[in-house]
Amino acid sequence: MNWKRCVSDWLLPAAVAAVIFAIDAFIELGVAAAVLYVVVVWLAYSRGNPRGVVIAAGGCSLLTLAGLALSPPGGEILQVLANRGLALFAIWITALLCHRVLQLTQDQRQRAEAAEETAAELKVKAKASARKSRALASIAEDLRQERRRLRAETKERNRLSAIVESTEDAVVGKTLDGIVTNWNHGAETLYGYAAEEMIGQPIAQVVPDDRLDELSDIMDRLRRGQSVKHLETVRVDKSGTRRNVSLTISPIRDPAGSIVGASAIARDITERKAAESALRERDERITTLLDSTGEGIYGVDCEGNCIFANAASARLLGYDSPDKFLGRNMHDLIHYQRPDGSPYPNNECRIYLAFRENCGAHVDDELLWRKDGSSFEAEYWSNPVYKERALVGAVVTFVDITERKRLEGEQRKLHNDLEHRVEERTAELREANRALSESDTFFHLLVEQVWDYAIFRLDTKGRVSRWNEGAERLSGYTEQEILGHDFSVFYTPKDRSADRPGRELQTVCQAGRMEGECWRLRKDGSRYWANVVVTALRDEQQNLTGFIYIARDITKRQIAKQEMERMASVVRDSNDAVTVQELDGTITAWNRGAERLYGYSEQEMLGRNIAETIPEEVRFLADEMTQSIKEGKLIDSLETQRKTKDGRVLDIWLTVTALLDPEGLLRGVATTERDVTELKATHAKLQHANEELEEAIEAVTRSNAELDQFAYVASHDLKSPLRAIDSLAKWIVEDAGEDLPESCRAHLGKMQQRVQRMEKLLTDLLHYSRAGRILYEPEGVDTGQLVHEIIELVAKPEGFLITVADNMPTIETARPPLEHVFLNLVTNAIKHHNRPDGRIELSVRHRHEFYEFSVADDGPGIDPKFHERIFGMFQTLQPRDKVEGSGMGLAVIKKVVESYGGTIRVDSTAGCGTTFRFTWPTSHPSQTEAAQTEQLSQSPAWEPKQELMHVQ
Amino acid sequence: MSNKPANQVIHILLVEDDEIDAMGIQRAFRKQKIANPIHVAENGIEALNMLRSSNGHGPMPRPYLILLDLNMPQMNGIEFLEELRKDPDLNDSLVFVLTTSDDDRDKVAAYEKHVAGYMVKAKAGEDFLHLMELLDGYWRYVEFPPEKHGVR
Repeated sequence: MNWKRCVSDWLLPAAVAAVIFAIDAFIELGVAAAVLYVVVVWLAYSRGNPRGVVIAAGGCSLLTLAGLALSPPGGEILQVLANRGLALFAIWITALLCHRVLQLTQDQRQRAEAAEETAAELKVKAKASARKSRALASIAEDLRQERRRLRAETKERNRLSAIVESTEDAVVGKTLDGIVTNWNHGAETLYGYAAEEMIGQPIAQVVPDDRLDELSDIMDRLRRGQSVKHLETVRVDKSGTRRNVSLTISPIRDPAGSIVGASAIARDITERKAAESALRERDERITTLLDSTGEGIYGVDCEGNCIFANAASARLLGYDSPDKFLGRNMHDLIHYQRPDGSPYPNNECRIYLAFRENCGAHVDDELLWRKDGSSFEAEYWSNPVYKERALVGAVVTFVDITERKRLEGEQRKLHNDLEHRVEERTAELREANRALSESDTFFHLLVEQVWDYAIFRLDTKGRVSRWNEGAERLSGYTEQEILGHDFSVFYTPKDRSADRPGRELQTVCQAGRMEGECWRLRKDGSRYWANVVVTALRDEQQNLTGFIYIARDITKRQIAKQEMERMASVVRDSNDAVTVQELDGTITAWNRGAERLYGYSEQEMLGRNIAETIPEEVRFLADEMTQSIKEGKLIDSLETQRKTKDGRVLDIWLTVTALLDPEGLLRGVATTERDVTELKATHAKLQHANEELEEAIEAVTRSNAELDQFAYVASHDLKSPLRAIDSLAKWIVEDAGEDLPESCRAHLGKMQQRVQRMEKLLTDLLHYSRAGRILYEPEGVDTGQLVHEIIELVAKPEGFLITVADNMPTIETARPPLEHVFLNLVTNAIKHHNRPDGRIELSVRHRHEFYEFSVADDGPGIDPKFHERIFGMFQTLQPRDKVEGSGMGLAVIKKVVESYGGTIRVDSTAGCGTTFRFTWPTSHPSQTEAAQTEQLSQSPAWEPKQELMHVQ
Repeated sequence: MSNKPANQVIHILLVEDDEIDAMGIQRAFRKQKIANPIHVAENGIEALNMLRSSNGHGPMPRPYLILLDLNMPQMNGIEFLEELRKDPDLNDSLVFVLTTSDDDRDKVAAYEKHVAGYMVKAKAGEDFLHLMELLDGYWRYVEFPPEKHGVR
């Protein structure tokens, strides 16, 4: 019904109802206005809907009752109620009538429709029946046959009922509520209840209490149309005995197909159960037995597939359960590869020989493969299994023999070792036996011919009983001399008096052996430092039979050791710092000098790096030094800097020594370090002083040159006026002639004399200033010839004798100065001699790099107190008026001799003559001295000949 | 000189600053009775003037011989020689050095200027006796350079 229709159906009744209600509301209660609602019901009826009539009636009834409350009061209460009751009655009577009418109308309409439809169908069927008419005959036949079949079925059912009744199985019918409907003879037998007893009774009666749940499950399944087959369960019979039964329950349907009940067939299986249980127990026992054995056991069928396996086989093969084997081809699973790694084809399997060749197999040289792909050496037995004389498969037993194989291997090895050892030992013994037979002679040869060791034997009293060549060589005693003597003769008297020999033997007796180092004496009384080993000799009964005494001279080694210790102590205590470093700079030695120098103690520095003492700015020097040493270059020493603990930086003179190991590989360096800070300062001062000195020398040189110039000027400019005075004096004497008084002539004479002396002084002064400053070319000077020429040149009194030694040498030297010296000494000797028959001897001695020439006279001699003075300037011992001289002669000689590196001295005592000795170098002065001489000689050359004249 | 013709009288130019030395030489000449005219100049400049007659007395009469001291004020002997040898009229002059200097350097310098001889006064002998002997022999046997204009 849609909305529009609903409105059109109901709008009018509703509007009418509303009008009636309004009227009712305005009319007193006493008037039966509500009867008008009948119109509404009629209107509903006119719509033709039976339900609508009822609804309208209901609605009007409500409005009637509502009007009771709303209408203005009027009339008596009974009247009101009667009115209202009447209205309601009218409404509902009308409604019922309308409803009934409508229903009847509806039925008639439906039947009419159905008749129309049937008519239409009949038309269709009529057409169809024309087609089917031919088949009707056969259908009739079919129906006949069906009737026959039904009859047969009925017969069959009756027969089945008889069978059911007679079967030994209990057949029970029941409703879905579990009420028994059928109970056959078998049920009576099984359960003990008669059919009469059970029909109409619940089936639960034969179900034990603990199986009631099972029963309700069964009933549920049955209701759903399912059946239960061969359910093995328990039921109780009438006597209360539990019986094992196998139940098959099927639902029973009525011909319409609805389930109306069930049939249960129960078979008593108590006996079978017992048999099964016994069988299972046996199986379990066998399984337990199989599982408890350590050997893997499995069975295969004739295809090689596993049919059972025990727990051990799973364990051995690495599977968690033997069930994993079931149905698997065991060869492919665990036996697929040979020990050499090649595949093992199934058809060659020796396990399967059991069923293929029908013979057992026992194999212990193959592998079985575990689940994880690893393998183990296995021993297995495979035997065919027969069932009723037919071959059905094989049973295989296997064990892991890895451990056994290993043990076997070890055992074999041990056995081999043992045999080998026995052989070795036998060989050793054989060798020992042979060596023993040789050893006696060999030992004697050995002992007797050992040179470096004194080996001798002492008897129990300490007397020498055997003596070898080494002993003779070491101690100086021959065998004849020493045999039978007490060995204490080898000890120093001090040791002997302290009974050291006796005590030592005692020690050896107790300890069996003694080793030591001590002083020993030789036959000639000299000592040597010996390394001594003394061993006690005992026979088989442990009785002392003597001693073997072995001594070696290790004096040299001892000296070397002491020397080394001394050296070590020198290094340790040296004032110079000595340190040793490894190549990476790690300090391994730090002596006291280093401690003093740097302030770090040995403990502080060992293991630290030398770099810590090297200031940054000179570290490259250290690196270069290390590099050079590594490259094998030799570094003697270098100057560098080091830092002390308190942060001072010292100038260090470093001497480096490479430390090589015995193979000659560089292991480190030892350095000796000396603080040259002060030295450097001193050096700087010295250099400064040197510079000053050089300046001074330059100044002196300059002033010498000035002096030279002065001397030259003096000799010229002072001499000129002198000569003028001399000339004038002479001219006065000449010009005055006889007129000049004698006194004037004498005065003029003395004046001339003084002028001459003055001139001589000036000349000698000039010579002195120049002496030794002129460079002469060296030449071969025959000194003998030289002095002879001088002797001939000088004026000497008659009877004066001058002798010259024969051995006067020829010297490579400057001739003029040497000539000057000889000439002046000879002329002095003559000039100062007090007798006309004086003698002068010239001689020479060779003294190292010098010749010492002597000029000896037998004149008056010189008092030793004047010896110093005579070599001074302007010194004379005689008044100049008595012996003419400037007093410069010896001063000039001394200066000349000394300028050539020689010395001059005088030996004389008053009255015993005078000997002048001077030395002159055997070779010419070196170039530097010559150069110096040249530098200083910037003065006019002097002429020896003239000199000679002046000296005279 | 006595045996030479009058026009062949040899004049002597003594260049000497020391008055006493000059007197001594003159005395020596007198003592030896040597009458050759002696002209004295006190230094090189004066000597050159006398030779070149720039002092108004006319040039030095030839032949002449110069006795030259080396240590002199104003122009010393070596400087004088230098001027002399540069002068074409005078470069043939005969010069004897008579000096107190015994210095080799002086000797070398003098001979480089072609002096006829070098004599140290100290060796000239008592009263220049050796000098006199030398000169007497010298001009007796040695030919002097002739007049230059005559040659031309």
